[in-house]
Amino acid sequence: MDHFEQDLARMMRDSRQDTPYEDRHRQRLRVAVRARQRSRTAWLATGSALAVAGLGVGLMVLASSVAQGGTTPRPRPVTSAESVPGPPVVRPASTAEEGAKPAYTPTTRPLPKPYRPTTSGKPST
Amino acid sequence: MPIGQLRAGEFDRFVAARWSALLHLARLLTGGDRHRAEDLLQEALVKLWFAWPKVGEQAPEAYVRKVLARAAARSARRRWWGEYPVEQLPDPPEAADATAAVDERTRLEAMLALLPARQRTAVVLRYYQDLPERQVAEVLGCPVGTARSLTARGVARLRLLLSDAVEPVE
Repeated sequence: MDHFEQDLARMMRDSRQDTPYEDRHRQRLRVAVRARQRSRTAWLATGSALAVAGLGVGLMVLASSVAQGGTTPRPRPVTSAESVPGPPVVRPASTAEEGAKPAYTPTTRPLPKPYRPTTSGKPST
Repeated sequence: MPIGQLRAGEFDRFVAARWSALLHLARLLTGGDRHRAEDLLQEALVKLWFAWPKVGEQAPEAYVRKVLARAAARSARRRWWGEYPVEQLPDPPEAADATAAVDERTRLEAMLALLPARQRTAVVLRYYQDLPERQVAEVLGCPVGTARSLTARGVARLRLLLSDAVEPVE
């Protein structure tokens, strides 16, 4: 520190006055602390209420989305000849053997063709 | 004794013991504005009350000093456009007791009031509180280089103002 800086520091220290802590200062500080405590309490209460409300809304949304997911029918795999009736399919009639074929609709799986011997008189080779 | 009363007693004893020194610091930080100094100090002590469980045992004065310095540097920024250096010093207020000490204090406060708030805060922390530059930066919440620059510019301006003040009038 140069001479000026030392002098500056000295001036700042020497300029101090003795100011006692009076009752009016104490009272004013107490009032300020109480006021700050009240505003902090109100702020915390508001924050808590908002948090609870937000949680409640979130839970309601979650519950409604779960409820909607339970009523949707899941597709079942078809495991037997049982079939869901579909729109009628018109097919040209050809032979008696073929007339017995079940109608193929998009909702059913095609059944394997049963073996039927030919009726033309010629032995099958 | 309930904990609340114990805490209140410790806090009250600290404030009573350090009130004068802290008020002087606040007054330097505000450039001699006594009312603003009291307001700043009260705000800082209210914050200290709520932080007392954490800082009361360790360094309550350092905490108050940091709160005071940051508030002083921040609050006067809004009036920065109103603060500008002048070539001639303002006339000091008439004092009933015109002692040399009062004159010197008045002149010092008038000089400090002419500095921008952050420069004034840096100068007071560095030269009145005798804090190293690293700590000045930590209190102000800025890099060390910025604190060094603020201090240097503040001292340079004070050097100019005070040298003009002591020049004999021709």
